[in-house]
Amino acid sequence: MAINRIQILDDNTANRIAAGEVVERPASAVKELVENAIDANATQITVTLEEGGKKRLSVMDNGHGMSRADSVLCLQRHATSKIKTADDLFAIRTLGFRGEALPSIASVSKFTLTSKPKDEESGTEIVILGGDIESVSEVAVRDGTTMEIRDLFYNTPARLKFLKSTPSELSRAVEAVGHLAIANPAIAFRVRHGNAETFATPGTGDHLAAISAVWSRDIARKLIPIEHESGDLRVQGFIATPDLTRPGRSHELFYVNGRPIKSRLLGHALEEAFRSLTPESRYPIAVIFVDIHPDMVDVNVHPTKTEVKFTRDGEVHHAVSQAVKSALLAYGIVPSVRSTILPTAPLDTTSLEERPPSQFQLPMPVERAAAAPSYREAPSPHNQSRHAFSDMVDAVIEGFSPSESAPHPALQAQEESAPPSTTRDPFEEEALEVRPRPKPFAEQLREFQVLGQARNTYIIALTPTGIAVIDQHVAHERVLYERLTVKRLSNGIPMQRLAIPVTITLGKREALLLAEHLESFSKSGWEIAPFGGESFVVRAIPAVLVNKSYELILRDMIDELVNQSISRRLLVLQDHVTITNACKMAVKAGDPLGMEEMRGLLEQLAETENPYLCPHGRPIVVTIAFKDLDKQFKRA
Amino acid sequence: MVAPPTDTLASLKATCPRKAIYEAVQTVGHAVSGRSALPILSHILIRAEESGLRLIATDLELGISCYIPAQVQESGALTAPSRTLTEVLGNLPDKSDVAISVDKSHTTRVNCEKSDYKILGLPADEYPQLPEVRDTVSFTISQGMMRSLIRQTRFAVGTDEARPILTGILMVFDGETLKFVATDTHRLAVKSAKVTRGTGSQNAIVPARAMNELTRLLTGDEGDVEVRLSGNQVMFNLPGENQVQIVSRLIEGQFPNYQRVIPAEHQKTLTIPAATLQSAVKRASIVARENSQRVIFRTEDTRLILTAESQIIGNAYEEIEVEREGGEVEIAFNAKYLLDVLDVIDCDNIHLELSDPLKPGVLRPVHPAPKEGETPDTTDYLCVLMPMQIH
Repeated sequence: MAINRIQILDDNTANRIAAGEVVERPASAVKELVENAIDANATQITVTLEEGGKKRLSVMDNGHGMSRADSVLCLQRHATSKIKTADDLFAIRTLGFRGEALPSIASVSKFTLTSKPKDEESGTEIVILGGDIESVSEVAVRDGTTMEIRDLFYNTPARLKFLKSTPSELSRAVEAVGHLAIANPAIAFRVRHGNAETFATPGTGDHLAAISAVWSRDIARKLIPIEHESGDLRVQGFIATPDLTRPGRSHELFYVNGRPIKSRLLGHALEEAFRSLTPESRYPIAVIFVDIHPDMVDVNVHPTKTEVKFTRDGEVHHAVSQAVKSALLAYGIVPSVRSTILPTAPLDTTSLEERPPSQFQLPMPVERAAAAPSYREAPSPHNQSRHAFSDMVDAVIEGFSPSESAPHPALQAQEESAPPSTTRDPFEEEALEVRPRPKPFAEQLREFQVLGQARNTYIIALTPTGIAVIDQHVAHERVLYERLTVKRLSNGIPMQRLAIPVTITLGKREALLLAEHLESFSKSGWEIAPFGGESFVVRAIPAVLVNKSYELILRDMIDELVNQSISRRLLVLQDHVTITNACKMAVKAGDPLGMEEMRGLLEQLAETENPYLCPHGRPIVVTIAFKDLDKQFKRA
Repeated sequence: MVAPPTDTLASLKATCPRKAIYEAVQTVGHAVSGRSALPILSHILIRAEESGLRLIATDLELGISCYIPAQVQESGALTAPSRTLTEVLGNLPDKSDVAISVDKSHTTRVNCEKSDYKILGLPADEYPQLPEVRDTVSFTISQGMMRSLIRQTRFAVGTDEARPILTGILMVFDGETLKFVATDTHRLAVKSAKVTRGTGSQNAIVPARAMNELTRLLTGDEGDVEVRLSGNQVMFNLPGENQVQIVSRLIEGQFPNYQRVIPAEHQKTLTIPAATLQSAVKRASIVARENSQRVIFRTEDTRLILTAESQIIGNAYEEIEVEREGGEVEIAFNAKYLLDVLDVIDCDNIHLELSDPLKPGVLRPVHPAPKEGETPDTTDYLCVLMPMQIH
């Protein structure tokens, strides 16, 4: 007897499955809700998170609100106000359109929607438990829509267990809102976690103000505008000058028609323009808006809409690349770094522990550094095919273990999106030319002959092949940083107790942050205890600080905490505290140094693991080769 | 164009031994500002007085003046750049006389045997006056005692410009006793001694620099230093025919309550031979300096064991026989701070008073009982050291 096994899923089950595609964590739920709020023409959007959004998250807007009928309908699958027919899919100008998000989210959470259009007296509140409507009632609420999600995934334990720790979920959620906030500067965003405000954008319509609020003032100050237009394709936005870089791609933001997207194509275009300007394994900071006719882009590639397909991707790649390059040229950035010793070491502070102590990276002139990825053992198939070559290079630079690495962006992008022919294969011209093995940089450093100090900021030294300019502050910072890190890893940082404890009084926000991070501070050698209100008492300090203005240093560190970009602020601060410690303790630009001090500093620098970059990622040494000088003086 | 000033100051003519004026220029030269926005502050003022010259230098914080006998042919005053003047005088023939004079264009002429130098100067009447210190409180104390007050406290003075209060020595005078207190928040040194005579009472914070200049210029054993305090100035009148005066601005503000830092009681006392401890710490610090100078003190019965370790260098171990009252000890100190105080403590044995590992330790000299006919040591000295910790 045949049994009918196949049945059509009920809506609720279908929604839960769809939820798996759209909503994977609080961050994606927040993103959906905020996008809805933006589409509702809100000018103020407040996001509140509890436990990183796992316990509760709500998005409140002052947009146009929904009538009762719409409120109920919007919770139905494929109910949307944004498109009506399939043709509209190719003319999408709103952020959302599929009508999947709300029912999906509602099916896996305890969901409350309240909404009131401006022209109506009262609003509607709908409570949904795991996709089932519990109640629909009339309530008195302010104009706009509020969506609240409690206990996300409470009924799908399989998904629940994939949620990460609160700081990690929080940082993703905040990042997601941050990306939208940057794209919508005219909307005042506020993000709160518990009682603390994570960031708030002014809503003035100024992109820089929004970026400054979401990332930091320091970054916003470093940004230069980019612009490029061709036909109906317009690229604009901001990039940071190449001296400010990031260890990952967290600060490469792309928007297509206002929608935040991830695009290997655009990433490649950006990084290609920056190639040889940023140190290896450091990534540029950029906010790039691509405005393109909706015809030419398909956003319906992926359920979360984070990926797009361009119909003429070569053109888009070129436009982004051009916009970035011409900005770099216009701001005079390109020529000045021609002969920089570019570091090849990734600045990976988190993995210092695992790194072999003798790890060594070759300093290379620019054109070689550009090809540096080829030296890496990257797990991409592209590199596999080049194995013979990397073996050869390895043989040449034998003894130096290449650092651990991720697949290079350029390579990945190349495979996947096959960008236009403007891309040069990094292997072709430069890399095959194998040069005599340069001396280890540490050894070179020992050969530096200090000539003097310029502007009490730079140490000028003679090298066997040219003239080196060393930034004294960053050099010292590197030395101190490694010292602090080594200490931290071994047996703790020696602390000196204070005879006269220092009491410091902070602003509310600073106090909150400091209170949250007391443990990180304590790991770095500070004994700080709350002293009532916004006051703290400092009872012991890192012993290395005994001859420094430790109170000022502490205040600076707290300031930096406050101004940190959100993602870093929320992550474990240990390294950051160490870096800041090192930075504040180091000699400053403007401190006169004696010859002995300068020699000593270079010796100490030679002993560090990574004498190329300061912990913030700035270069330490810049050299001018005699060869280049000779050329400039027309000495054949 | 403004006509050059025709004041009477701009004329001076005197003759004196080269050595005398050279030494005087060096004495006051330390008050000359190294990098001042006011050009005149890099100059020294020389003014004719009855049968002599008075040299004055100041950077407005600190002023030093010094008198030398001279034959004054024409009264008046001049200024000359300190560095040039010092160098010229320093290199003139040794046992010679120097004639010094100035013309209307403020050019100082230094004449000595066959050497003749014209040094461009600035109008003397533009030179700032040293502040008057009308004494409300004054006292005198022996040179030697003043030297040891300074020597035993100045190492603990703070260098953090963010806390200027601690960059001076607190001088506490109560009418009979003079007490010097210095702290950089990591250690505290307190030394007190009886004054020869004095009236009034006052607390004042004297910049470390003034104290350093004072101790530099206190070279003899005879005579007392006179100290005058008023408002925000202090003046030291040094004994000797050069009538050296040091005037300094006081550091204004409230010095921390140092008495609270000195533990009222302790549970353990170690009596340690000072020289032995000093050399042991010195050796241990070879290792300790690579690890923030941390030296761990631990007792086993009557043995005091000092250890230090460093990831880069290795380990240090020292053992000293000591007398111990109270329980066993384990505590960590900064080797440099220990050496600073052991360098100046001047006695055969010291007491180290301790309670628990996070409480301050106190070092005191152990004064031997005075022998027949000797006057007992009435000075009182202690140094509080804050411990280090690891967590």
